[in-house]
Amino acid sequence: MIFKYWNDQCVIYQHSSGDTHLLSRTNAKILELLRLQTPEQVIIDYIMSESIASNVEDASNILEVTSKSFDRLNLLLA
Amino acid sequence: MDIDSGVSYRQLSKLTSTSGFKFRVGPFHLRLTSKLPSISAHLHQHYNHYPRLEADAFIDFHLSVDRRSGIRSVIKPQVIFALDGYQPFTPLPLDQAAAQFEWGFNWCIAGSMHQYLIIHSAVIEKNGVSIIMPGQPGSGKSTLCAALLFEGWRLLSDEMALISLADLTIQPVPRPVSLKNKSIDIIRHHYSNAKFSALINGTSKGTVCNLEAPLESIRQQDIPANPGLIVFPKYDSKARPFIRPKEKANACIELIDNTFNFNILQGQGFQAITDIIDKADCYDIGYQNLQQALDAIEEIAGAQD
Amino acid sequence: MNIIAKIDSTLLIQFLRNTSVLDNISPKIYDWETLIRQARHANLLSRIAVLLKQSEIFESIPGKPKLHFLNAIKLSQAHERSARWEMQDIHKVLSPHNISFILLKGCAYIWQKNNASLGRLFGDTDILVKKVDIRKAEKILVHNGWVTTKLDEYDQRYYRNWMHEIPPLHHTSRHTTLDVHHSIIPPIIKSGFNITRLWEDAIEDKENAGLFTLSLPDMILHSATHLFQEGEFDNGLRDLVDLDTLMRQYDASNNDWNALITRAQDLDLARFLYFAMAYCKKILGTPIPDSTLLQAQKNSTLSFMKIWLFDKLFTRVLCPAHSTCNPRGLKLVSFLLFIRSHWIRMPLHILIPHLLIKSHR
Repeated sequence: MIFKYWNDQCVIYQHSSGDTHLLSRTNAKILELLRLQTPEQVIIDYIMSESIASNVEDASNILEVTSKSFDRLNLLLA
Repeated sequence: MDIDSGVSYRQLSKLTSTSGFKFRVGPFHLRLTSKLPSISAHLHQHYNHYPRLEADAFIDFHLSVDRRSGIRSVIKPQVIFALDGYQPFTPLPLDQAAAQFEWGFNWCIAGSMHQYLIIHSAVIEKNGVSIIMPGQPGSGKSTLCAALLFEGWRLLSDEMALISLADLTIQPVPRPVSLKNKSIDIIRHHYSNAKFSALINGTSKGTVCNLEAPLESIRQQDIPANPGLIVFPKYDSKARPFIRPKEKANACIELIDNTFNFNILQGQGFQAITDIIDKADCYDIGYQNLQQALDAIEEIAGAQD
Repeated sequence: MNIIAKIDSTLLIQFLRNTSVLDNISPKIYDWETLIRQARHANLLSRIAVLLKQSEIFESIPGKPKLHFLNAIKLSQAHERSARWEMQDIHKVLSPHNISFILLKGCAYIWQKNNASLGRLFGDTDILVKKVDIRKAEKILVHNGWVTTKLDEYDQRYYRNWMHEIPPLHHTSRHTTLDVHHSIIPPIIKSGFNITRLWEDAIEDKENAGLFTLSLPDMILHSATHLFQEGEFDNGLRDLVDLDTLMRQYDASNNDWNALITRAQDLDLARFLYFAMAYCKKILGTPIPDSTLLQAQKNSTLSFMKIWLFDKLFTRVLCPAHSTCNPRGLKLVSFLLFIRSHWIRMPLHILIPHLLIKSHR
């Protein structure tokens, strides 16, 4: 995967499918760190759930948003 | 580059209906055969001054635009576009032949010229400043592009930005500017010296016609441009006009959505797009009428110096 | 010029028969343009591009034709990526339900990365499941983003009762097509073919349980059956190139031609193997010994008259149809072969109404 950062956002390109995703910088950084230890499929599922969630949540409270992201990730990794 | 002085309609027509009209548009070598008078007329009006090819020059695309044969052709005449005998489109009514050729030529480029990143957008340039205007529906990019040509801007393309993967320069492919429906009236109203082809009614896009590409743009078709500005125009007659710098990540996603051959170029395509976004300044503009759009463009371009 | 001479003089054919034919030419004056045009028309441009890239001559090819080849290679690489993604997704969907499937044709070559996958463009995904699993497989796929083709009742019956596949499935977001088969011979034909035999020799992928490909001899037989049974020759030369490549690979791994002939006989596919061998040898120069071909011909049990007639038809329809090598009467030949394919798939009393209904659409 290629991670490209501009300001508060990140565009991710996934080689195997050719898909691109837009994520917040924080979430993308989390993913980059985990990437080495996590199967690619989990990363993809996480990105998809983030894309859906980010449309719904209020992005003003970064801390709350980030901790919710962690919860989702934990569920997937469990 | 010297433009060709051109030949008479009769000579061109004879050539096209026999061995084929061989010419170069940007980097592409074409040979077009057709027995249709409307095609010869289209070539005579729009392509008569493009460089001709030597007899032994390599041809990229052997194209034909001809009347469909068979019983149906008597009742409902139709035209078929073919690349080397292969027909990518369903036949269209005969009077849409010129439009069919232009769409077919687009298809040839977008379908096979993967030495370029090919973005659905207009590209213009003035004083070393280039603007890529991606073409979402409702953007009004074609009208805006056409108008800018009368304001001193060079035409690189009205339909496809060809970005070389080797060095990220923009390759010009100046061609007749395709306008449809209201755009035609707007341009006619603003620019009395605009030269159009005949109107073609009833196409899948409505009424279309072609505006002649400026000769000076054709003359400069071998001079590439560097990416400088990416402007995403949006026409809305009810909303207040605006100029806003655009978040690069959002610009990246939108540019990818407008790239014809993104899936084919894979990682190399993604890299090229991110490199262009890194280099260029990105803006969203909203406008209610053509003059506001022109003013916005001049303001953004002016800020580049 | 007679048709054999026409075929022999076609640049594309010369190259396919023997890629080293270009070792002795001068890249600056060789007619790359005609080669490209013929190859593009036969849907083989990516293939010859990949083969050329492997040769020493590639760097000396002049700029413009070289660009066409490089672009054709890019296209096939993108197709390969797309095919892999499809197959992995299908496996992800079917394996939790313990539904095994065999990859067929192009996607199998790409999955296995065998020689037939070089420069192969990928269209629909074709898989084979067991007849007992087909309804369940369809249901599961439909629950996972696939949609069945809208067909009227007549066409639904055509597929489900007479043919060996369900109507094509389309993926809603990727816009790809999946054909799910349960056999390679339509059930309506009286034949000694038994699909279980293919499953017996199928090879399971080590990392993806439930995902199979056919053994090499069975891949050859399936490809031969598909080409000479279906009656659709739009990609005829491309399909013949697949067969030629697979058979050369079979020969190179020191497999024994007799074993292939015997297998065809066992599966009641001898006729199709004969056609495959005859036309691969004739058009593409596959190194099949004369004795093998003779044995295949005997096993096919075709009358001399039929062999002669089919020879006229198949030779025409399989050679490149580009304007630089276009045999006369191609449309009629294609039509006759199309009719024939339906004739062998259906008894006459079903065929005639079927063709009448189709022609009224």
